[in-house]
Amino acid sequence: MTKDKKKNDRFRLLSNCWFMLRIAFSVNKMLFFVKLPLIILTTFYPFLSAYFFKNILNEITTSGDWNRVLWNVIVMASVILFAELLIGLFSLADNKLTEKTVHLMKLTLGTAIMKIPYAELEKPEIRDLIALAQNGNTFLQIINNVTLLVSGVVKTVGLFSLIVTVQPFILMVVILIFILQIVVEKRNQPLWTKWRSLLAPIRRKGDYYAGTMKDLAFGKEIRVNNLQEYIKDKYENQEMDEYIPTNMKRLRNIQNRYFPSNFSVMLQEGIAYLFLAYEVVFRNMLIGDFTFYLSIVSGFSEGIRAVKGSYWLLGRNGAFANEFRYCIELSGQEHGDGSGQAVIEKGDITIEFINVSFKYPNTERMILKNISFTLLPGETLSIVGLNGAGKTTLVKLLCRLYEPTSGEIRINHVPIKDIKFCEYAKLIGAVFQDFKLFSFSVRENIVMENTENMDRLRRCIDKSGLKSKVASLPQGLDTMVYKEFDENGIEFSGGENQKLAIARALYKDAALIILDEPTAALDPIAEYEIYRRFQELTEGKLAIYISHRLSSTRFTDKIAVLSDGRLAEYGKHAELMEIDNGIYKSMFEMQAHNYIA
Amino acid sequence: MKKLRFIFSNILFTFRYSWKISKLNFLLVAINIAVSSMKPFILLYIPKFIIDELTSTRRWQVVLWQIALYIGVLIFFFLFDMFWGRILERTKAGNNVKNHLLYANHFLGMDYEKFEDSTVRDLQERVVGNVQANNFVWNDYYNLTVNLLQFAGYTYIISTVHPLIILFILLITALNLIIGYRREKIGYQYQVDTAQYGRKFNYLFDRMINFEFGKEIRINNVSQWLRKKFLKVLGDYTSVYNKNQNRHMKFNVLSAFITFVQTIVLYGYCAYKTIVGDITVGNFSVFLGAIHNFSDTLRGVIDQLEHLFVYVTRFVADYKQYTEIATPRHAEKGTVDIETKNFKQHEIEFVNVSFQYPNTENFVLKNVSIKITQGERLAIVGYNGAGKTTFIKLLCRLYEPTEGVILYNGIDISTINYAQYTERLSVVFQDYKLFAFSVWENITLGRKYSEAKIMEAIEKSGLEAKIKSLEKGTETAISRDFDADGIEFSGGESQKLACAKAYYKDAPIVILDEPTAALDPVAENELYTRFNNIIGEKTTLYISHRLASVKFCDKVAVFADGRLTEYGTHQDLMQRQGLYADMYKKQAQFYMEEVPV
Repeated sequence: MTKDKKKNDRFRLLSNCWFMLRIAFSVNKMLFFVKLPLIILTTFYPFLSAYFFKNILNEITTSGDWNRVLWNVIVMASVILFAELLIGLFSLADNKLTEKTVHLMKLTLGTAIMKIPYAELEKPEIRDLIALAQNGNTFLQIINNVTLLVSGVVKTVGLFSLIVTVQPFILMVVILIFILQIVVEKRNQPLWTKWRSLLAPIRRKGDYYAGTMKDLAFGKEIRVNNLQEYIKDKYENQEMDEYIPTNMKRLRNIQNRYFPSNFSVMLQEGIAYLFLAYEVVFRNMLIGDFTFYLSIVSGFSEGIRAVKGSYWLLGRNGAFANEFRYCIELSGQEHGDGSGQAVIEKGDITIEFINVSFKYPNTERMILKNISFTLLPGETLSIVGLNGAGKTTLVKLLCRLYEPTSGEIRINHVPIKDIKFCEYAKLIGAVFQDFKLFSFSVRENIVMENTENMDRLRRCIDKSGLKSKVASLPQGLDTMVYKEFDENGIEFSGGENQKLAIARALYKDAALIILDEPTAALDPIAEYEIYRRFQELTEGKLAIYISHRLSSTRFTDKIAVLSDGRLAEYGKHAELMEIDNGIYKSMFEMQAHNYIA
Repeated sequence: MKKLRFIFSNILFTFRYSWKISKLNFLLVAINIAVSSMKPFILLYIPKFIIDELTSTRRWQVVLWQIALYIGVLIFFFLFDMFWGRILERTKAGNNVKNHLLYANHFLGMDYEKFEDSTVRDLQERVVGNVQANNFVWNDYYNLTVNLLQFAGYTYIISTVHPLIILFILLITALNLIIGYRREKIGYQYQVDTAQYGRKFNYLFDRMINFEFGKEIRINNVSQWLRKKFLKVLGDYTSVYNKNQNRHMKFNVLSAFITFVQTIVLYGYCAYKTIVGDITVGNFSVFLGAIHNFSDTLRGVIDQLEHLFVYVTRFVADYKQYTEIATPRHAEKGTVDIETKNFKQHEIEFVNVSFQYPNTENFVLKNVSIKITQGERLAIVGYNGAGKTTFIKLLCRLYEPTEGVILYNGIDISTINYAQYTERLSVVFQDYKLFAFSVWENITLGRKYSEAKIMEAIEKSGLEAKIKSLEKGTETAISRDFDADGIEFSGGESQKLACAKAYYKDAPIVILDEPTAALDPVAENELYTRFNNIIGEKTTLYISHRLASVKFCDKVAVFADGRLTEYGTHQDLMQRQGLYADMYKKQAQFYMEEVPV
């Protein structure tokens, strides 16, 4: 890494941390008006009592006047009391404000991520950010790091000014030792990454073995195949022969490399004694001052260490700050809305794919190649093809989760990228292959952001085959799905989940319905019911149905056969069966062959 | 009294447990205790001599020697920490492995139905995950002993000033302890009350940023909805948090006033004694240091004791309960040796088998009787939850029947030597698991290695082409987790490998659980072919979800609501026009020429 790049990185890091602080400030201004005084108070508080103690000692050793000593004691105790009460008050406010701010920051980040284009979510920087954000209190850590940094600076500067007039030599020693520390640190920097990259996979492997021993599915395999000793041996060998020796090597290596700086920090105390004792013996420094300056010297070096330490910690959290900013700025832009002006009236729509090709960002392979077809109002389409042929990708493009690499998709002759995204989303009701339900009530999962209409709700529940299940629940529509928010929440079966997702798509009453493998988890009878009511379900809307089971194609007006990214065949079932050596024909016969005795 | 004895026996238990793991450790901990206890006193007394010298005769030579001694001691402790740290690290790591292996015996040996039970798993987590508890001797007892020794030392020092001082300090400490205790109680209750918020925040935040929810959120415009939920939870949480903080503040204020009184009395008295000449200035600082640390160590002792009592009791109780549950009951009953019998035929019979999970009302299997003769292929069909998987698990001896008996060649399987019995089964579970090892290791899994047989297994399971395409052939690791050269096997390829493993085992009874993932027609066909290959002529049980697969089976067993409702050949059952016929027709009819309306 070149010197310039490192400098740029550091610059970027600071500016991004600053950005984050500005967001924190905008989210909760009071925090800073409380934190700054608190930092100053807590930094100097220990030296306050040290100062008054100095006076006590000096009084004792010079005048020996009991009244004056007592007075000094009372003053010290009172000042400490007052400072503690003041700090307590500020801490109280600080804790409350910080807690609230941290959560609001999380909300800000979450909201931003929800707004950025889907395609961005797959980028590695965003995935890293998400992993870091999920891992705990990064916001709090950063706020604490900054606090530590500022307090370290305040301490260092304050104590420096106290001691520079009295004992500049000691200061020089401390600074020299500090520079030594920095040099050692710099030289050892690559150590950390070296050992981390060596040790992490070894640790992971050990954890993996430990994990397989606890896992339920592995539990079956291990018992049925008599692998108990086998797996225990693997674990033991891995830990004893790989992990422990490597970890010990790491420990020894790091201890040895840090020896000079750790040793000198320890010596620092002895050296301070030396200098100050000299002052007492030869320059008549008072004993009270002796102890006082001792504590200042160690405070000064602590301050420097705090600055260095928190700066380093900030660096570790730097990746987070960078991606945080990236997300916030990205979410502020309207994505791919083109003119964003077009509006689609509710009602019948036509869909056109015009020479659409697509490949995922940063990949070589074209997933879709030159797809063109038209769907007229009220038509239903089945999309079939082998795994990897591009079916789900086509759906994602239609949902505007990605933009075509070339070509265009139009609705009612308007290019979809010219429509405002949130307006466009209203046009589509989708059940994805990997649909998700939320840990809220059944009702909320179906209605979501739409307005609630009991009739419509009941109709959708009925159509998707959930009527009897809902009736059997003691809390009916208010039953919570999953258990996160309510211990009485229900874990529905895979089939019931799918029916819920179908009900949700129906409720939206969108102009286009997309169903991607909606019956994969349903048993034959339930699947049959969905097919039987397919016309009812789609009720004259435009519907697209994706399935491996060709049995679904009997219900749709048109069938699109994707093969290796191309639209290989398109038409009605009867037409496609006429094609000699046709893809559709051979797939259909392959499946049918298993049923017809 | 009884409680005390109970606690004592628990403590003894932890000692015996640690002794079992490592006897050497007791010696090491003892040495560490000795050094750590002495350290603060040495570091307190040497400065005392320096200060005394500086306030009396101020001989520079003497001071120099004293400081040199101080530095020498610092160096000693520094080096001791460094080397001792290494020794401790090494032993701790080794002990962790031993500890984990002891637990592994439970994971791997426990009756499977207990292993699956969520209450057992929770208990398991509490016991195993309790890293702190598993390190009693090294942490808790160590801290307790060190604190006790230091407490004794400080008490002695302070008593030389005036014995009443100790009483005074004890009084102050008692007050502080009461405050601390109340604070703990409230703090604990607070944790309990707010645990739900943490869960909710995490849930909501995760949904906002999780990639898997990205599609739903964008298509259904869910962001505002989630945001509102988050803010509501935040509002509730903040009011609880703030109330708690306010309560803390009251305690802090009380503590501050107590400290005020304490400071005046102690500093005042010691100062007086110094002025009067009863103690030297050096001793003055020693006493203040001792007073300062006295209450801390006392509190440390009491905290440790309380912590140990509560902790030890709870942990030991959990541990005992866990090991009781984990004692293998099923396997130990297996005494019959079948190796000597040299069976050529392999027949299974279920005789009036019923099964109910522990602590449940419902019977999952009811009165199932069926016989599977040598070489017969039995298809098992039925809805989800009908009992198919339980049936298989009983046959695999993962569970034991609640009523009835399962016979292998006329012998009750629960009496057969467990390892020998499982050798008779080749199983591919629906949620089969492969290890992150190489291809050949996953196939052989510790059995006798035969290159020819491995190749055969690969060919029969349809993996030949894939293996040929790999540079390292069968040495290739099937995941990239621990080997950069590893190849991630797709879902389909993994399934083939699981089949190869089953084939390699070459057991006389084959059990296959069809994967439910949606497969395209070609993949589906391949699946049936390869199942056919690995079954050969063996006795087979096949759980099917797609009724087409019964084509290659001899008989069909239909499960509904835990009972075996229909049994016979495909033709028989079709003629009966029962549940099976209904299901079959519904799946098959779409492949007929006329589309039913």
